[in-house]
Amino acid sequence: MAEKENKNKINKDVKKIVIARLEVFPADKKISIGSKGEFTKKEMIDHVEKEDDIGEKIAEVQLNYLQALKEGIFYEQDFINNTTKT
Amino acid sequence: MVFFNGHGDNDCVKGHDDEILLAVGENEQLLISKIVYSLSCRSGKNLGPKSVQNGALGYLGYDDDFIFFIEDDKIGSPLEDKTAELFLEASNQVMISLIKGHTIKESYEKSKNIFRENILRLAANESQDSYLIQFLVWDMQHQVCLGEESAHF
Repeated sequence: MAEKENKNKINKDVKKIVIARLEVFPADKKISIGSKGEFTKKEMIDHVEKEDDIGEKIAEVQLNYLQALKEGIFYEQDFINNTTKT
Repeated sequence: MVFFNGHGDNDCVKGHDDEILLAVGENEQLLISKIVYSLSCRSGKNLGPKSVQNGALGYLGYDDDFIFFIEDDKIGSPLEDKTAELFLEASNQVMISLIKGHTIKESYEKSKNIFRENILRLAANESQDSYLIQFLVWDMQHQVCLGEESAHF
């Protein structure tokens, strides 16, 4: 029942993109998501496949970044100032 | 000045064994006249604003999950973990700046600058660790600075 409730929480195309991006992550690093725990690359992919809370959070972070790129985060004044410092 | 380093949620911060240390509506008055930095998930969402509303001078924290990466073989020697350092260097900068006497706003900005520096370093040299950028951006965007911006220790 719980699995049924999880269905389609992540758009099908988004899910494909998120998993494709996770596939290139190294296997020797773990993500730590607060009290949710630590997860390997394989576990991250499993959670996205299951569309549970952890999978949703991983997808949310990736979509947030893609949105930030679209909005030109690297062209914001604060980033440009940092670039000119180095 | 009070620093928390543990789990948290929208309405609370937790300590050892997830014991709730501070919670909205229960004991946020303990932070009256304090400058607070909470390296924990989400407490900047409700607990931070409520604390400031109830008299805390400033509250720095995160209004969503604080996410970072660790190297599997460095669990026993965390100070050698260069991956975690990218995240923790930026988050720890808040405490370093506050202790040095900078205002909460300055401490917040200095922390954000380290996030930006680390993001740019990963982006500039096409590092194999560039996948970390999205998570650094996430933490940077969800760091909050609430209260009187000129407050300092």
